[in-house]
Amino acid sequence: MKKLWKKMVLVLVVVLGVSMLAGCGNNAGEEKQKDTQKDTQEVGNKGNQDDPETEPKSLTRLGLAIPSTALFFEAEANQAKKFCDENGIELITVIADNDATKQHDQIEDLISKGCEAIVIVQVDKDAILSSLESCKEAGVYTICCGRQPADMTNCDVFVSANNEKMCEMAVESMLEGADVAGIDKLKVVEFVGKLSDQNAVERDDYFKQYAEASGRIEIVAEVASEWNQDTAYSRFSDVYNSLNGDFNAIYLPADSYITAAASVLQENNDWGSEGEENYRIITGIDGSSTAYQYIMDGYMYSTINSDAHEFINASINAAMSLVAGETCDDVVEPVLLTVRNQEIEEYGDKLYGIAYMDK
Amino acid sequence: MEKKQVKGKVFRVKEYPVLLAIAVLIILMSVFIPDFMTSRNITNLFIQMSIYGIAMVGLVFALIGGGIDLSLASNAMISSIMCATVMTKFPAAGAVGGIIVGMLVGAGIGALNGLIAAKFGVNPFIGTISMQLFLNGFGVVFTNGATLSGLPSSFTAIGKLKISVIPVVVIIMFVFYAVGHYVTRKTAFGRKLYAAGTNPEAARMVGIPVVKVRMLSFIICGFCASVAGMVSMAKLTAVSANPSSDLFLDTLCASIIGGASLSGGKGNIAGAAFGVLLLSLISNGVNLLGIDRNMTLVIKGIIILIAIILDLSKGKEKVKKIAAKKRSAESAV
Repeated sequence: MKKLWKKMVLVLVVVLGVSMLAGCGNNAGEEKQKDTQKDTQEVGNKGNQDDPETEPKSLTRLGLAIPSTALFFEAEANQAKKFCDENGIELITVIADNDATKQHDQIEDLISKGCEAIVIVQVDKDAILSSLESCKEAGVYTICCGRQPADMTNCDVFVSANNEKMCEMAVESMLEGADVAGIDKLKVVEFVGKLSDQNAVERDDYFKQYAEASGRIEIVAEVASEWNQDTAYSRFSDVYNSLNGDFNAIYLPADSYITAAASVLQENNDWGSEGEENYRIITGIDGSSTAYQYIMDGYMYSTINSDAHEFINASINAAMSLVAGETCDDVVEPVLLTVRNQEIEEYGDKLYGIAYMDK
Repeated sequence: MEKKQVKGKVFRVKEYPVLLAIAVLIILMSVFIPDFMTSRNITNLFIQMSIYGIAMVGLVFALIGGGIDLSLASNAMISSIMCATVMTKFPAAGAVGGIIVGMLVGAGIGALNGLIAAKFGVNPFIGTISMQLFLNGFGVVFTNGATLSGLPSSFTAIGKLKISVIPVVVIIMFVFYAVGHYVTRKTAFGRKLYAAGTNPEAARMVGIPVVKVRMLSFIICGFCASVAGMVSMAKLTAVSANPSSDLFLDTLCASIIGGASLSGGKGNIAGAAFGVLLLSLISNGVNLLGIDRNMTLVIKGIIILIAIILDLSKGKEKVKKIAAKKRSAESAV
């Protein structure tokens, strides 16, 4: 029995080896993929009008590489699926768990899978460059969504999430909130994301820059959240105790941290809505459903809405244009919007976060 | 007795289920995923394996010696950061200088782990998890959260170069496999390591320097982690203070699949290498099929559980056999 078992395994190993060797020689699929994209690029370069007989290519298989399952990225993934289903595009989504090496491997797999274009929300602006280069070599279009790579050479389209603009808008909105509440100087507790994350660094740097320029904002403490709710909660607890609650505003680089902030303030009986004595000006970034809820309840002043759905729609539209050989802007900037109570009432379902609210 | 235990064929009966699983998986993937059997994907698969394969070799050494290194991924990150710092801040040192510093840092961290676990007797779980926390924090402080890039092309070439059709990183992985296999199976150190991991007290009584041997296993683990980190950096052409989320778990999983035991004294490089291949195939298949990536975790969890249960049941069988032998010997007397 043991001998038979050994023989079986040996046969399988031989089959395995032979098939792998055969695989190494099988380039037919890849050649076809390259040829398709070469044709597409040629069509694109020439322009469709020159040759009426040339059929424009259409996007059939799209890759989406996102860094994590954070609410914003999940909203992007959901919208991508909806968009692709409606347009008959096969979508393959990979999630890197904030690991640049893993994202690199996943993008290589998407190229192997024959994706004609890949929408990338990168983990790291530098580490993504080698993946962009691989895509370029394989003739796969790349659309960098929301995060700009360190070098744009191999990125076909950048759908820009302008962190600087968001921070500027956040500061403006906080000051407006202060004016409404009759506060002259704002003592702000600033939540900070994980400092090895590009968005966290930019949302920290630009906020400080615009806050200082305003002359009315003093950052009295920072909460290093590490992009983690539990960490944010415990560190904000410490900050609250050390300041003895002496601050009148909170800046959140991602809306989801409102829950950690609210928990700490509630525990200290220092949680008030608009008009109450312990009301604080709280402004976040993202435009998530959680933030909308707190805004509607009067506890949060505003959020800077960078619409996840709009980002992904713009990215897939760009991918479709590129594959079809149409011209496309190198940089696409979805509209940013400061969302307060009145905007939620005005725009309603048009705001992406509304779709994720508990109705 | 010990000699008999560690000598043997490269493939042992223990590896056959893993080989079978690999073969079945390859056949299934070839049939159901048209893009699987392409030269690009097979090359990708092996390149992706290389980082895990190299790190696995070190972890198997630590596991055989009765230890474990939870700081493996953080060590890989810090070594790469140091390597990158040397290459970018001191260009005269070049890629070779950076690589040497990276290796020294990795081995040094391994030595510290060894000192904590083997010399001071701190449980390796606690010792190395403390090291992991320290390294993660230190990495962010040292780099100020920034990504280090602008590495010399002589270094980044390692991630791209091919000899004939085989990527250099894959060759590096196979060199580590070969050396690791040789050291564990054919050298006196390998035999001492198995002995120290199986029963440290008995090993000490027969004159094996258990502390030294176990320390060395941690140093090897740290060294391999540093090389894995630098290979990853060469691939990505950048590094940040963000340790790989999968490196430790996947290498541990592969080692256990390959027959290593958390209680020490067991494990072999060939088996663990097949473990790495199996896990890489699963990840590759999940990506190619576009399946929810959480399925990878589910599958890995199931595989580890099966491997541990098989290991435990084999251990029980062994104990029963020894007891039966003992009884028959006693009755004969």
